[in-house]
Amino acid sequence: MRTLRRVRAFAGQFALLGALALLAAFLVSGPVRYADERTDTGLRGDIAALGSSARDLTFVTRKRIGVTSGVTAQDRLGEIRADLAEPLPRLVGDAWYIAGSEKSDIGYAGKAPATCPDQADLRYESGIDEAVQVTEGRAPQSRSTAEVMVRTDQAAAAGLAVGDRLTLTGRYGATELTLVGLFTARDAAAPIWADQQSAQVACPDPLEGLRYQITLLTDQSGAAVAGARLGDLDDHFRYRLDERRLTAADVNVLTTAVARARRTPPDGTVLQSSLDLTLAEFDQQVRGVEALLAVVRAGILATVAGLILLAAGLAADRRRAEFTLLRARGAAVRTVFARTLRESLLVVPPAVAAGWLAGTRVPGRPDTLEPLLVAGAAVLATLAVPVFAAYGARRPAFSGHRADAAAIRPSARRLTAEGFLVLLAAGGLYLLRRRGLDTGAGVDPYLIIAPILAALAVSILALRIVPFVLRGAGRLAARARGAVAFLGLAGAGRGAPLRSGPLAVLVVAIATGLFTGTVTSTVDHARDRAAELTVPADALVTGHYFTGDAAERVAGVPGVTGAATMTLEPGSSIRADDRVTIVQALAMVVDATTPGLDLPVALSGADRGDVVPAVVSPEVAAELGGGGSVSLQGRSYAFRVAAVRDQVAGLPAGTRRFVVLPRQAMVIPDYQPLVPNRILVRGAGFDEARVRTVADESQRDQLASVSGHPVEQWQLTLPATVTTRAAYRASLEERGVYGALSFTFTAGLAAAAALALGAVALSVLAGAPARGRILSLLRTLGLSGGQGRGLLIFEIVPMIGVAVLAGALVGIGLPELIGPALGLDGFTAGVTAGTTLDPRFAGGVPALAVLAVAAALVVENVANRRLRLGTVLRVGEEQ
Amino acid sequence: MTDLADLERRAAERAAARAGGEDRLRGHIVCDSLVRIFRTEGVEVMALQGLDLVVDRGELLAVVGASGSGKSTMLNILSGLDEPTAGIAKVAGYDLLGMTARRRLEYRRRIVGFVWQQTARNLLPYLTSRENVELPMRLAGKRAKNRADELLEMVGVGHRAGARPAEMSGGEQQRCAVAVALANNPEVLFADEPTGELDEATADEVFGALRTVNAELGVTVVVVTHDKAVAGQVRRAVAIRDGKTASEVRRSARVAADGSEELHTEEYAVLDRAGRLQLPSAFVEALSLRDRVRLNLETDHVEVRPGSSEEKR
Repeated sequence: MRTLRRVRAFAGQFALLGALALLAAFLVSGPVRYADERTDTGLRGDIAALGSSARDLTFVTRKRIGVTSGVTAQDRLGEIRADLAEPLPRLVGDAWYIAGSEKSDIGYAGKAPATCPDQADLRYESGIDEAVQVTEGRAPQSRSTAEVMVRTDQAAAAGLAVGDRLTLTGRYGATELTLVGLFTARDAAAPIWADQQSAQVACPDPLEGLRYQITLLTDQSGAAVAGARLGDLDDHFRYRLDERRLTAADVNVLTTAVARARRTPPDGTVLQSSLDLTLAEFDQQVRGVEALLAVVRAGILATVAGLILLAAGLAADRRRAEFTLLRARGAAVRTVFARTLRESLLVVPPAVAAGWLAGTRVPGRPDTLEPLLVAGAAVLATLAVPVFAAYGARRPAFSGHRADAAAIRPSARRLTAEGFLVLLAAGGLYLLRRRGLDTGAGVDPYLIIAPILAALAVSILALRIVPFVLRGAGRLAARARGAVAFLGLAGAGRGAPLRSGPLAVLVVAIATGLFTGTVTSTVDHARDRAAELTVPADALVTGHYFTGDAAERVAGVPGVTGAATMTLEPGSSIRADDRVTIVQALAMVVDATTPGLDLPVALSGADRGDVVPAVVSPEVAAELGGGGSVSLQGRSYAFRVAAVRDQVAGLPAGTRRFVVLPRQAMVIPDYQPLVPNRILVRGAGFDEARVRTVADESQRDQLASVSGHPVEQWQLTLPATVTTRAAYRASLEERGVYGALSFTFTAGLAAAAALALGAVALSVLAGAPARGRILSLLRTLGLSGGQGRGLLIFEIVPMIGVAVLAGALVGIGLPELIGPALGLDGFTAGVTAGTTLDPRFAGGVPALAVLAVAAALVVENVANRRLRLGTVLRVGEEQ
Repeated sequence: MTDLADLERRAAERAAARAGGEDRLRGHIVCDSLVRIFRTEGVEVMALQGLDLVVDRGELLAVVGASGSGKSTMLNILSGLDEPTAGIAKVAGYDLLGMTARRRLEYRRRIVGFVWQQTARNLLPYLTSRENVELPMRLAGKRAKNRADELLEMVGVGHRAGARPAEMSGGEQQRCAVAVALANNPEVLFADEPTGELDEATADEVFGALRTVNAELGVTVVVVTHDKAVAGQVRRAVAIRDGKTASEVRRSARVAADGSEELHTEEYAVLDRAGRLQLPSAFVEALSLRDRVRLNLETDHVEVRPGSSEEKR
């Protein structure tokens, strides 16, 4: 009861502490859960968009010539699944047993085989009966001859009809089949169809055009009969990863599990899946995102922890007289500790519980560290006041505590500790820069600590440097007439201008906010750059080969203001002039004067000649020397190296070996033209579909001129795709994990701003009694209300100003300093852009500073609203 | 003691010079039926119960009273830091009831100076003595050259002009505080237990400083103290009891038969406007006066007798 009375007596202080504890508990649970949820959703979306070969885990029996499947291994489906390494059994959703052949040529019984026949694989698949709707004929019921059914769209493409008698000819044999039915999928989007899509592939001889690849479904006995005759039938055990059960936390261990399944597959099988590659890529992304998020979260949590310590220090300080009295009456330090601990226990744990409860209401996956962090917040907030109180009561100052210069001067011990911290931070950043991220599982703790240490170190340096500056300013103000500037600067420069606690908290908060802003704008900027590099015009048309006049054709589309063709030839051979070297590189041939490419003048202004100037990548330049000749579409073009560049617009991001030739300067004979495969389109508001149609017409004409006969649209191997720069830029944002990133950045910015304001308010509150006392004295000396507010501004502005400067230094410098460790390239399609800060953020900081000053004035007004001058001055009452 | 008389005469001369004539000296500070009631959590405390006080310009007055007698409440009202519940309070023509903020500021800047009991609270710790003295001038927007040094010299701490409070003794700090209070050349100086934290010798120094400024500058000085000894150092000491002025001790200098000046001390009880009178507690105790007393009007005085004299006998 007595404890409760005490808590009520100091309700304001405990309410503040409780609110901060609640906030801390909420912050370590709620937003983290939400961010994790966003990561998971993004990851699931990305996985769902993958093709079956990339997301399914398929074990295929190892091929042995002469041995075919008996179509009896259905039972192994469950066994294999159970034997998979954790967490695979838990994450696998659907599973199918397939007895299937390789793609084999389809022929018609009694007819001579075509030169480029369509191809089909024959398969029996578990669960197929429920997935199909027979639309014509019936389902297979094979006896001596295997009966098959085909999906209606595939039958139409391959020109098959019910009743057709087919032969399937594989590598090891042939079998006859009867087509007895056509079907449609009950649910075309069902995963069972994912590996049965018809495809159109080029014939071995390009002049023969394209052929279809389809799937023939049969029953169990049909598969056994036909498989034996074909000499080719393998058991497939296909497991589909259920993305709904997958979380980002699983990715790392899942990658390991898949890799293990590849190394030690079930008996007699091999794994056919690129899932581990896909996952490894995700893992890298998730880890990159997590590293960034961890820095932001750690900054925010450190700020909250700092605020809790400030509030606790304030609470203990306000009760110093009480504790001193207790000590004077014979209480041990332990007694003071226990007394305040009982009070804290009444307030903090319920507040933490409430915060945690609120956090758990946020949908999402709890972080593994969550209970630990909540417990940490609870312990910190509970013990802070008792520890401060006990520390203060250790040497009670019965005659009041000194506030003069001697007490303010830092001790040698303190200076040593500060120096050590600064060294630690500098060393930490240096090592982090050199070492990069820890490649082990989870987030590198070093990465989390180093930025906070850096912020603290900078705040300490500021704390020690600023008084000198203020003193200088104070000397100037002393000569001037005004009282406020003189008083403010004298007080700030000679007294304790900055309290280390509030300043450190403020610097960490502002550094976190600015770090967040800097990373956001850096990533944005790099993505813009990536879009500019990848799509060096308003749109890029990609195809197999276009006619030489494709640019003029596309330029005719309404809305298109200009177009230029480009040839990209991967793996072109380059012969060095003066060395016996053959280099493989991506060759790009383009009119160098095309706007947006930003090629050197040597290329854009080159004269037509036999040896043209070229831009090459550093790697190629090193191997090549001064020049060489590149073989393009059967003709050799000589060039000399005019410039060496890391990146050239129009090349895929991350291309390390390339040579760029200026088309306008090259001598290209009419009889052997250089056929383009890209069109750069400039303009706005053009119809993309129209551009695609025109481009495909050009492709068809090109193919027709080569093959000598008319070409239909469906015969095109690579129909033209139009990628606008805006669409490409947007696609860079669509990667799943970025959702969490943008959420955390927004939340981090907001939280950092709010907490910074909180720190300012708290530090004003902490200094309110002392300031109230001085203000009272000054009021009796004739200080007006306006001058009083001016004085507060002089007291607050150095702190906020220094915090903003120091925070900006850390926040903007950090991405630069630990950039290699953060791996920002992963978010920007491989493009590295220098650190940039959006002017909006840069402008936001002074705005926040002004807001902080306003908040300080409001808090001060509330704290010292009623200056009972007489009482304050005579009795020395501070409250 | 002749010093004191001399100082008093000089103070009166300076004050008259300041005010512009002997006739303007009366009623520099006037309190009439001053009432101040404090309300805390429903309980009313009547700190001043109709206090009357008139102080002339250039006077050095001590207000003496026990703790809780209401002397500090009175001082707070006169300083413009507090407002009376009822009554009249005027200082140098400023009506202290219902002053606007602007006028209050002007009052603090031009009319009054303060010295508080706690030495540390009179001065800003991070300013030197000189800067502390210059501060009120800066706040008022004026800055007379050398005035700070003159004032510090006058109170006897001129040699510590460059020192900060922490480097000075309590007495030096308090004398410096007197200089601060005088920075803007106020008409009235209020000192609340200025020697409360000091030892006797140091207290004498501070009091000496107060007397000096009173004499040299003609400033009206009101010192509130619970130290009866202080009363012996001033010409007029007013005692406050239970929120009222109870008695007054006046000391005047006379020329003795041998030509030397001597001080003559007389104690008066104060009769208020309603004719009420407070008997000194020593008188009350000596005759065990309780509840009722008898009053007899004689030709030249009033007699007070215990109300139940028969029973005693």
